[in-house]
Amino acid sequence: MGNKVFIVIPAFNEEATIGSVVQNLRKKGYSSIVVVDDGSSDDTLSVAKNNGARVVAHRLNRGQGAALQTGMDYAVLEGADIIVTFDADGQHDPSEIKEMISPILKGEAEVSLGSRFLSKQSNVPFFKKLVLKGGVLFTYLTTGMLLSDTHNGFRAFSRKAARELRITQDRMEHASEIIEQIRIKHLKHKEVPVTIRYTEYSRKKGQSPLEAARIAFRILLRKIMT
Amino acid sequence: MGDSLLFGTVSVFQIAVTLFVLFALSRALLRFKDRKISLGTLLFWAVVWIGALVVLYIPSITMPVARMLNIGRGIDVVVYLSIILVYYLLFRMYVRIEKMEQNITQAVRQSAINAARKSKK
Repeated sequence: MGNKVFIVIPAFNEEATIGSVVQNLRKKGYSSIVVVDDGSSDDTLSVAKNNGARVVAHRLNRGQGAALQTGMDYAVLEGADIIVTFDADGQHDPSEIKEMISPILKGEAEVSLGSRFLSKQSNVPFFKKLVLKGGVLFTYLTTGMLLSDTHNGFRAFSRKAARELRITQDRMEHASEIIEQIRIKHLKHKEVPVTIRYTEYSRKKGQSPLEAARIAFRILLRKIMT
Repeated sequence: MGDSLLFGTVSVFQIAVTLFVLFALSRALLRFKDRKISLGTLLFWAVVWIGALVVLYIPSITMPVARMLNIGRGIDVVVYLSIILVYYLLFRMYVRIEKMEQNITQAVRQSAINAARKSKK
């Protein structure tokens, strides 16, 4: 099939990993790789470029939600049929993209959501699991959508879904917002088991429980205020 | 305590607040002259600050309002109203900042996408 698959990778100060992430994607045959450099102060931009990615560069740091939306806008403009979002820290497995996009190719879903809790291989550290399940519960309470893993950056969107989705939460709150919009816009979705590789590096980059609480507070504040 | 703050004996507290109110009013007036705020906003602040001065010098004026609202002391009415006002202003600021953040993101996004698409061609 002539489906143009775009991989969108939001990246903020990920020079250590972005090169190999792009390389591994290319090895799997993906050529449209879009790295959104979110105003990094390190060499993320040139490393991504030198490894063959297209780079869309935010002049100022606007947050992961903003970077994702920028990447999706760009991919849609460049004629993407399917957009896969992927983490820059090497947690995701490029060979699982096939499984992520398969429900969209088959017309079973407009959005695929990666879930680390549906597969047995992901060795989620206990504390991390606690925070993530908190996110699942919080998302259920605020959006009414019960999923197994709400805060997973591995997602796939059909062109139609990508055009309808509009992330306005610039920072980490976007994860809940995406779920909320899937419900509001009646986008057919499917959770797909994926494995997450926990490394020392990714662990350091992950969200702490304190930060998670702060994110929850900001979502509630916004719900009250607007 | 409210009764000691009547005309004739002006406390240090009253002088300090009066100076602050005059300062705030002059700021509002200057910003209106520079066309930074509308006449409506100027009037809003004039009412707020002049109201504050009236209550400061004639605290008993709040008593009828307090009685009407079934609130024990006049000063409590002032405190409650102030909290409501502050909350309202915070809300407006929150909305405005949110809007500003989104505009900044929009501008950053637009220029990033334009630059990326241009460099490719």
